[in-house]
Amino acid sequence: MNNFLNVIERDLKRLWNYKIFIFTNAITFLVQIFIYAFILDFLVDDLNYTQFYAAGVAILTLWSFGMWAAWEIADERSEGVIDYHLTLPLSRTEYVLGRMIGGTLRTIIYSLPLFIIFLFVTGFGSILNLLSVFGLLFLFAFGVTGFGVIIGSFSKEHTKLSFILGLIDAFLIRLSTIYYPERAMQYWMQFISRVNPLTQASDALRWGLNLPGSSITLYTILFLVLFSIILVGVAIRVYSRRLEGGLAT
Amino acid sequence: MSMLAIMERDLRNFFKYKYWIVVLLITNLADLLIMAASFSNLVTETSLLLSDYLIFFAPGITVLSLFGASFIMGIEVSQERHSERIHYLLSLPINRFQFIVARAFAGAIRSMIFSIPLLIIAIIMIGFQSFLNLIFVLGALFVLAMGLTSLSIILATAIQNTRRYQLARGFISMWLMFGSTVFYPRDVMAYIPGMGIIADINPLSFGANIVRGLLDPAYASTIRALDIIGLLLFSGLMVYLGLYFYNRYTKTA
Repeated sequence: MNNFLNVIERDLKRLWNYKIFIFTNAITFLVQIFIYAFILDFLVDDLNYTQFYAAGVAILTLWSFGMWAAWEIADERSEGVIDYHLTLPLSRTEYVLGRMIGGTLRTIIYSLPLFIIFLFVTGFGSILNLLSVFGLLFLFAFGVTGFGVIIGSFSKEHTKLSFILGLIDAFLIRLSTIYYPERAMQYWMQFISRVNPLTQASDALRWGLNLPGSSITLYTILFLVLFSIILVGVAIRVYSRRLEGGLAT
Repeated sequence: MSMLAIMERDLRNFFKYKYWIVVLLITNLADLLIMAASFSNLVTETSLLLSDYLIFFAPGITVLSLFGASFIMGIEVSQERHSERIHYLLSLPINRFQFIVARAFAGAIRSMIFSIPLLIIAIIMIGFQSFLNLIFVLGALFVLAMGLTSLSIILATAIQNTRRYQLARGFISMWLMFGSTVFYPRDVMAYIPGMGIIADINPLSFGANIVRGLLDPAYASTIRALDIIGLLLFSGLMVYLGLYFYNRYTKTA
């Protein structure tokens, strides 16, 4: 247990290693809400676009911070730091799970100040709904970190990694309800959007904030829970295998 | 002749970033064909010269792609400093002035190559009024590309610290993207105090307004003297400052 906590602590201590990334991401978040979405709001009559967009961008922030795990894992593989980690007196499972929980907590800490600003923009209806959605979003962040770990485990080369992540972002983000509601999409986009974790997370957050026209279904909850469980499970298995070629012990 | 050799080298180097180029191109295409297409179904405001958001956005994304590709030159110059490849480049028997001008030209040509597919898509969507207009569009894009490439070279050579360079690049990118008429009409931006002025001093606005007006007669009135003078002034100034900063930097490298 102590070893496991040490791994989490180490990941949390590295929080400020990416301060430029965090800072520019935070400023982009604010500019997107207070300038980009605010201006586009004038073009859309039947929807409070600023609020709608703010919820989407909050999920996007969680997504991009969570996916940062891919860069970190890839960097460690290419720099050979993993060899050092493997010499430490802790089990493989403790190490892998510790890394993933550490990464998720870091994502939450990075996103928290932005979420607070975002709550000022949107307001919220019921504190109970909001807390339950935050629970779901923690699971979502855990799943996204797992996804980042899986991708980072397969590619240590920066060029290929940015290619893979760029492609995923280009389609997954645009084929979700992050930027626009499902009714604005064509039929084939709606179909993909419904099996897109970003859509489910954004819709859940909008429901938690009681934004007009938002709702949550059992499908959304099950989707987010399963998404996280499956990706975390796969991530543990893949990362353990890639570490040394053996299964988690 | 030596200038041509430098330009050829930079053009060859551009395709070294093939993964990056493909991702940037796919992202821009997704922005246009997925994001703008969906968003156009939401737009209900039609009184502000915005009958179809997709048609409005197509020239904007062409300019945005030009900007993205232009900034690759700055990243390359910055990397040359870190890898100390700049010493090798400066040891070549080429006049320094020619070397710098060739790099700016090569950067602009690279950006044009990158943005042409998006321009073709915009033309397919909007059509074009005459070949003369099309030549003016290409000319405007080239002038803008020269200015943006020079701006990226200024940033990479004037700011030596990598973190500060990344930060400055991030801030300038935000101003250029979100403070321009690429995504929304100037009249709508003006609803927010100060944003109209920000749009009026933004080179991407100059480019987007000119390309939009030249391609689509509905937007012909969006081209103002300010856009043409602004674009020429911006690019002229950036090329001059780019030469100054790059020259100063190569002397201290």
